Amino acid sequence: MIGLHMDHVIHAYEDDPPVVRDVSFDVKPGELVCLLGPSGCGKTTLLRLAAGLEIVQQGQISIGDKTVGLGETGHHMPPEVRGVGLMFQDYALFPHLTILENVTFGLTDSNGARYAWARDSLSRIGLGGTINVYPHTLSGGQQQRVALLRALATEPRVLLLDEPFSGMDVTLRANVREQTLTILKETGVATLMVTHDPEEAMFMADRILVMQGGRIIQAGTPQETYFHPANPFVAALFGPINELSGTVQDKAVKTPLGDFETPAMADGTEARIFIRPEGLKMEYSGEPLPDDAGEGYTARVVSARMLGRSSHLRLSFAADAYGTEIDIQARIPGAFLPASGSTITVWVDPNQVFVFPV
Amino acid sequence: MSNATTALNGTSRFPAFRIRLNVWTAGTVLAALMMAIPTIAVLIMAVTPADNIWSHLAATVLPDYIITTLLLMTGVGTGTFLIGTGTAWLVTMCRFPGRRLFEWALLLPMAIPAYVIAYVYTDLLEYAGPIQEGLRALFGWTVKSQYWFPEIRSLGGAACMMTLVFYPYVYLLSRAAFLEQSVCVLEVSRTLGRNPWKSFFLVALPLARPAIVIGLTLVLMETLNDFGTVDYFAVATFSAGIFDVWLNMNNVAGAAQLASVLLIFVLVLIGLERRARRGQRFHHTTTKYRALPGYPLRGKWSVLATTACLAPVLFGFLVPAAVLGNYALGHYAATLEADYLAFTLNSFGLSALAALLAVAIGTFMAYGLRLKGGAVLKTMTRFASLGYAVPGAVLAIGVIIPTAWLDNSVDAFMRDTFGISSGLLLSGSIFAVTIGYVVRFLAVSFGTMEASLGKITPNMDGAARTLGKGPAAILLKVHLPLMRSSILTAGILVFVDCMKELPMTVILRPFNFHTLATFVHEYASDELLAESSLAALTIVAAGILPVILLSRTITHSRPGQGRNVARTRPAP
Ligand SMILES: Nc1ncnc2c1ncn2[C@@H]1O[C@H](COP(=O)(O)OP(=O)(O)O)[C@@H](O)[C@H]1O
Ligand SMILES: [Mg+2]
Repeated sequence: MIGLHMDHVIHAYEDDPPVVRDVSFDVKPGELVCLLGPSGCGKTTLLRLAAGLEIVQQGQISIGDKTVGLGETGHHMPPEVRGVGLMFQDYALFPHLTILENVTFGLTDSNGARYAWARDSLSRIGLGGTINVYPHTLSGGQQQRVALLRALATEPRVLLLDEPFSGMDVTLRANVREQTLTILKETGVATLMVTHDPEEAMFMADRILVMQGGRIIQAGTPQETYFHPANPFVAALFGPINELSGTVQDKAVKTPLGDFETPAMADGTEARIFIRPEGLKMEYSGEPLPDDAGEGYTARVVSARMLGRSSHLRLSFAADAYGTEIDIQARIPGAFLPASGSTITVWVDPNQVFVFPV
Repeated sequence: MSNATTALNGTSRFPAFRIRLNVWTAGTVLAALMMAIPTIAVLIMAVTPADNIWSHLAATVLPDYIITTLLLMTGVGTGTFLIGTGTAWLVTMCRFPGRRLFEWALLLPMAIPAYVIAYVYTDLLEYAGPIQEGLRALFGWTVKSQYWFPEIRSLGGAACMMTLVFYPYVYLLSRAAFLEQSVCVLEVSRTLGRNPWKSFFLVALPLARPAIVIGLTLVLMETLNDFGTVDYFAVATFSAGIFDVWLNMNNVAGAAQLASVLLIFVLVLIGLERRARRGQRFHHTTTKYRALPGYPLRGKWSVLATTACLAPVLFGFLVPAAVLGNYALGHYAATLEADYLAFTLNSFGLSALAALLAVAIGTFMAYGLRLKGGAVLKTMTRFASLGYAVPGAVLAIGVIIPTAWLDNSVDAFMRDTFGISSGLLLSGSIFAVTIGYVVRFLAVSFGTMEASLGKITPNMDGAARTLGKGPAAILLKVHLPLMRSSILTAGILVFVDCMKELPMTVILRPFNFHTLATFVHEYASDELLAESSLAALTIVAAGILPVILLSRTITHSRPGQGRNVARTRPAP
């Protein structure tokens, strides 16, 4: 059983080069899949294709057991009969309709029970007393939830959310995220959610599809995506990352922060080594050191700054016999602010190190 | 492929969708083509002259028409530029008594058709008029040779009359441009050592140039369109020439050839306007919006500014309105007797019908374009709304040619088949007048509807589509409610334009059929202004409606107001 299925989908706007290039994936009922990628990589286009707002040019799109779009034959089921719910980035609430009218816009007289559901749901999200007001009187968070209910009212088989939390401040975002997740898990709808915020994707998703330049370059659980990035792009997706270079010798690359095994790479291969700032551990970091930490490596503190919940350190390592130094950024939980110029001992968590061929 | 059978399931809905989509596109294409017929007819006519009287025209009237028309355009262009930009700059940048009032009052002259103001001032300023009579009484002159007084019924007089009622176009557009500039660029200029006046000439004016050019092209299109004034003043412009050659010399081909020369003028203006509109996009230099500070004017400067703004309102609206009002009080009985009610009914009925059609077609085309954009459809709709640029006299010929052809074809068919003659069905009918109005003013409704639709985010359509509504349902349930006020605006604008329209009505109307405009024209031409003043006043009263609409927009679009509210608020 599938909720939404895309098979080798390609899409271009007018005569421009394609913005969706050979994308295949599926979303099962009850599953929440996040489409994660930088702005302009084709995420919204993919949602519009799924909803039927764009006509598929190549490839196949199915919802449930029905083909809703097939590029080869030009078959295109229009959005109004697809049974998808789509929530736009700007919510697109109808300004001339009340909250209740907005939520019940897609209902026909035949599904009277859903009118009751609409009222109930509005009450549950704390808007029971304001069902007759117009959208512009609501706060951003409230508008977001009204838009979500509107998309869910028609009991779609597939729910598509385009950056549902953009434009909210951090605190509100966290609250609304929780509520949205609760509502979605209750309905058990197959959900495809677009975001460019990796933390949000990690928080919400059962699976993450990482998109770059119109392609899905990695698909997996949040853990897989974070700990086993398929390429430098995914590795760098979760924030600034340290990059070193080296050459593979004896199935490993040597760096000033230790040797990292590269069983899959041939000797002599030029390699790029990525180390997450949070992968550096040190004496004062308050965490138990890994068993195989060994002696650790000596680094000079260039600067140390407080970021709030964590501290940001710039460290300098003597790279080689000629005295060239390399610069490494580290992020340590809590307040840890050694004096500039002081020397500390550092270990690296190998789970946070990724080596790719150049 | 395992999905082959299920794919077939899905296709059952596919044809219905295709057909529905085609209805919109086909409808839009059809409407655009229909609306383009008169313009195309004139263009075809322009390149295929029937019996050639070129050499005759060129030898006799043509040079005169060209020179007179160019002179008139120069005069009106200069006048409207000076008054329009000058007053616009004063009310946007300076503070002086009455500024708030003048912001909208400067639009009032728009309410008065050029021919009406011409009748009024002729009445005031001619030899037998109150002004010259007063002067003679004052100085004891008895005959005309004893003093000099400007002749109102002249080329210069016509230019003055048109300047007085057309300058609001330039005022509106340049005012909007000055407002949009944001004060930041002007302040930069001042911090760089320029005084306010220098800043105006070095920064504000050049930045507003595209808007001013658009305003001026509109003014010049109106100038070319005018028939009533030049006819009354016996100024030999193209429009007057077309009428002369056609009605007095009974030479349709000659009129058509004059029309084709006039079209060259129009094409140049359209080109200018298009270029200016393209240029406008690049003139938004900053997104920072700061309230204009307003240089407070004191003493003689403030008196000067107030006078400069009062004069156009006084001479362009208050004086003519007062004269007409005064006459109407004394002579309304004469107007009523001349069947005022019937003319009014004709005017209102025709204008309302045309407004309804124009708004319906305009909305349909704008929505069709939104549903399925594309360069072809876009070009077609643009072309269909070119009517606004084509002078009424030319467009009227463009309506007559196809309707006459249709009438003749039907007549021939009827005679061949049934042995009876159907005669002229469309030519010289209310239908022809209505078509003329709709074609000429479609741009107003289409433009308004397109702009209004453009303000509704496409996501609104997307949301409604995924919620199970088709294109027609979305238009009814989402767009039309959101566009209510724009629809009303478009309807009123077209309605009033039709009320004022003279040249097309004169040519296309059925025999002995009068509207307020043709009645006023006929009476005033016979020196019976007083007897038709009530009718003229009725036209002016209708003309006030757009002024009210525009002034509301003006007060709502002050910096920092309205802009974002409009997007989230339901239409009032
Ligand atoms: N309607 C459109 N016409 C032409 N190009 C478009 C259109 N919509 C999006 N694009 C282009 O397609 C690319 C992908 O856009 P989009 O799917 O919106 O990306 P994302 O949602 O990931 O930011 C962008 O380069 C964008 O400029
Ligand atoms: Mg997007």
